[in-house]
Amino acid sequence: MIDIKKITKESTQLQALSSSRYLWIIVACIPLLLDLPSSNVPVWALGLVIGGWVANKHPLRWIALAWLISVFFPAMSFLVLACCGVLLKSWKDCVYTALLGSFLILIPIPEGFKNMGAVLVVVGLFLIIYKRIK
Amino acid sequence: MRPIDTLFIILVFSSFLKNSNKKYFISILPVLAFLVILFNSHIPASIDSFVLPVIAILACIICLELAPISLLLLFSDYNHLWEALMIPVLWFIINPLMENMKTRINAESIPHYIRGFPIRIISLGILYYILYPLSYL
Repeated sequence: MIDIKKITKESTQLQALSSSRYLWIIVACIPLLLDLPSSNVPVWALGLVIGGWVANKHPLRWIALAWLISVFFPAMSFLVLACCGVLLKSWKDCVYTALLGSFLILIPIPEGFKNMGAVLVVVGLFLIIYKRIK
Repeated sequence: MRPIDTLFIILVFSSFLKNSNKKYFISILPVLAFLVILFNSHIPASIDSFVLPVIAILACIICLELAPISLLLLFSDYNHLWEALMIPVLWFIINPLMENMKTRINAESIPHYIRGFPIRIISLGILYYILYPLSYL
C-alpha cells in the first residue's frame, strides 16, 4: 500500500532541495550589498574557496578561519566571510559564489540596485529565464 | 548592511529555521548586537576585537543549526534600537504571510519554470519595496 504521508514528506524534501540549489546566488550578492571594497573581494573569494575545502558545513570552523584571515587582513570583516561561508552548503557552492561575487563587484552597478529587493527580483527573473531555456 | 536587507536574506534562507525550536534568537540577537555597538566606546581596547567573535561563537554553540542566521544578525549596522527591533517584528509578520502563500506558490496551475523558488523570491523582493519605508522611521 502506498503511504501518502511518506510521498508528501519526500516531495516537500525534494522541493526544499531544489530551492536550496540556487541559494548561493543570493550569497554571492552579499559583498555587493555591503559595498565591500574591491581590494577585499579577492581575500573574501579566496577565503570562501579555502573554507569550502577546510570548513565545509562546520560553522565554528568557518568562524575560526574567518578570524584567522581577518588577523592577516584587518580590513576584511571576519563576520562577512564567516556568514557567507556558513550559508553555503557545499564546496562547489563556495567556488561558484566566489566567482560570481568577484564578477559582480567588477560590474558598475547603480546604487539604486544595491539593495536586497532588487537582488531578489533580478535573481528571480534570471531563474525563470534559466528554467524556461533549460 | 542595512537591517532590512539582513531580514530579507533571513527570509530567503528561512529553511534553516523550519525545524528549530529556538526561533526567539531572531528577537534577541539584533538587540544584543545593537547593545555591543552602543557600548563599543566603553569596551576596553584590548578586548574590543574579541567581543563580536566571542558572541558569534557563543551564538553558534547555543544553536548550531541557526548559526547562519545568528551570524547574519550580528553583522548588520544597527543605528537605532528601532532597527534592531524591526527585524523580529517584520519577521513575525512576513513569515506567516509567506507560509500562507506556500500552497499558491507551488500550485500545479503555475508553469514549472515560475513555480516554487523563483516566484517566492520575486514575492519577497516586492514585499521588500512595500516595507522599505519602515526603515526610515
